[in-house]
Amino acid sequence: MSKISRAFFSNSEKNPEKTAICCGSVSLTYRQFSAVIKKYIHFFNLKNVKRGDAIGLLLPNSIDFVAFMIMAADIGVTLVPLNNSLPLNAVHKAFKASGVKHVIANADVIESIIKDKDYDFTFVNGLWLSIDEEVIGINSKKDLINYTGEDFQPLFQGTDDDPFILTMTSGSTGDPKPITLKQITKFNRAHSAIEMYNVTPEDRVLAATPLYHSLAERLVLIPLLIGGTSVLMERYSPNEWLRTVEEKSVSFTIAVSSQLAQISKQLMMNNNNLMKSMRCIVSSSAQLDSSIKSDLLSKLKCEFHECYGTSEIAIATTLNVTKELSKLDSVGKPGPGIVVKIINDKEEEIKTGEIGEIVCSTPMLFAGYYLQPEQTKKAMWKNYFKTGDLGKMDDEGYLYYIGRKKEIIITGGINVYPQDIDSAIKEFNGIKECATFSLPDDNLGEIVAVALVPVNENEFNLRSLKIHCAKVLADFQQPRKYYILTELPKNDMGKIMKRMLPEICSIKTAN
Amino acid sequence: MIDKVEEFVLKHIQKKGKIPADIDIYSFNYIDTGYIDSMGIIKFIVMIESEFNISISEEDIESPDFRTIGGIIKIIKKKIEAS
Repeated sequence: MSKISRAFFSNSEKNPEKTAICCGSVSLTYRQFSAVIKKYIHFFNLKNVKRGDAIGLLLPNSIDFVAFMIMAADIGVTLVPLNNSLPLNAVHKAFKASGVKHVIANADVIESIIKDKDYDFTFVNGLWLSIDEEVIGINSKKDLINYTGEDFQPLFQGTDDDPFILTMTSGSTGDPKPITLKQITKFNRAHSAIEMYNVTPEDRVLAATPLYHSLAERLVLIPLLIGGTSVLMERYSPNEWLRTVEEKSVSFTIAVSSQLAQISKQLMMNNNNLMKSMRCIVSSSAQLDSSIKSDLLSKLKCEFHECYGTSEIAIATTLNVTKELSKLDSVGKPGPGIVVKIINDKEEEIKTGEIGEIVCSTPMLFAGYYLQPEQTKKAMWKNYFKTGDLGKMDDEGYLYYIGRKKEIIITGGINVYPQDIDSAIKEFNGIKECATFSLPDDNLGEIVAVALVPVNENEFNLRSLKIHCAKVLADFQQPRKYYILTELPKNDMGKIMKRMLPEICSIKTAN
Repeated sequence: MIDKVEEFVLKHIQKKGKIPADIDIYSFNYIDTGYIDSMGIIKFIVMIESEFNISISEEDIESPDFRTIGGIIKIIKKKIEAS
């Protein structure tokens, strides 16, 4: 039986008139929201969407997105949420890798898939649903709204062990490596945050990141599982974030550190006591710069925590920034039931104070990469997940984040896999070799940079390459800086030494 | 061409949701309201450059006009006329 579905519908019965969710100008009580979800459950059931099926979701943040999450938990369906700016080749690969049978998207995305001739989407042979405008020949939101029946009730078909959400990451070859999160994992992740940060039904919890991102999924579930109120932002900007917190009396949120860096700038320019309703803020995704931490400490009148984790394990460690002032360089201590260790290259546990790879054993562990047992095995050390991050522990059990072992760029809290950018650029004619790397950025934490060697510098057209990237990569994957070099630094084995690129490129002008 | 520019700009800006019907669309600041965020801005600019075969400069991006729908449409039209 699905704990997610049970908890939500039980809260709806207990507090039918309490606000369950608000997003933009729309606000729904538990009674109204559960009626919407029950209707969706029966509509999808009627359309032959069965337990075990996978639905591809290409949607911006909306109340409907959250309704589909509870609906999926109730039926036992798996959701595959993707960034809706992904180009069709990436959507095709992700749908294939996760066995997507049904799709819910905006009309313009659905139309572009239907019109496309390059990729075969015929395997997506179930329900196609346009959530805004009508598209000829497929179901639309109107069909959902007009669907009526007798006394809809939840089905309670889903179970805790059902795969619930597949979150996309990328393998070393650039092929998708979907992270499988079972219903119970999502439930445990939400409850772990509830316990760590004392979230109660009185809290109004803000989700300000995209819902294809595992953090926002957790943030909308946290209040709905305990009878609190979810405040969902359709779009993020620092001004909108502050306005939403004020207008909707937000009391708890987990924000990605790059968002907090932008918000901190706004707060420092404003002398008013903003965020009076805020009880607790948690920074996640990447360690906050110490100057931003001090700025926030001087402005925030609420609890302020910083956490460390990855999509595969959720939160591993947490630091109460307001109280543990002598440990501000660390990312805190492991949460309840979580064990963090440090191992060396030989995969042996190492002593306190020594730097090695951070590994983590947790009840919130993912269920593996979808249908990729070998990749899953490679990612594990005993029952610990190898984070690909470097760190060390002190004698009091605090974890210190040192840097990354694996190749990943975190821009605006979203993971970018350099191999995806490399392969997109190599598709472009006239590139001899290229390497994608990260550069620090005040606004986004890190940005995507590319060093490349053209076959012929005189004939090379950077503008055409930028247009190519805009067409074949999603918005968060766009390179912000291009460096044209005569050669890339390599070791004796001929391997590109990406770590040298920021320094080499620092003396060149970016294009 | 005017309609094509407006249609293109509105289509891209509204990918994350519809702009409220009761506001003056031309003075609407699509950046401060997050319709195009710091992640999406590069793709937005390059797609405009590609569609209309123009070049958007740093100066254009930093001008207050760039942040409103009416302003960005004006910038694009001016560049099309000059090309």
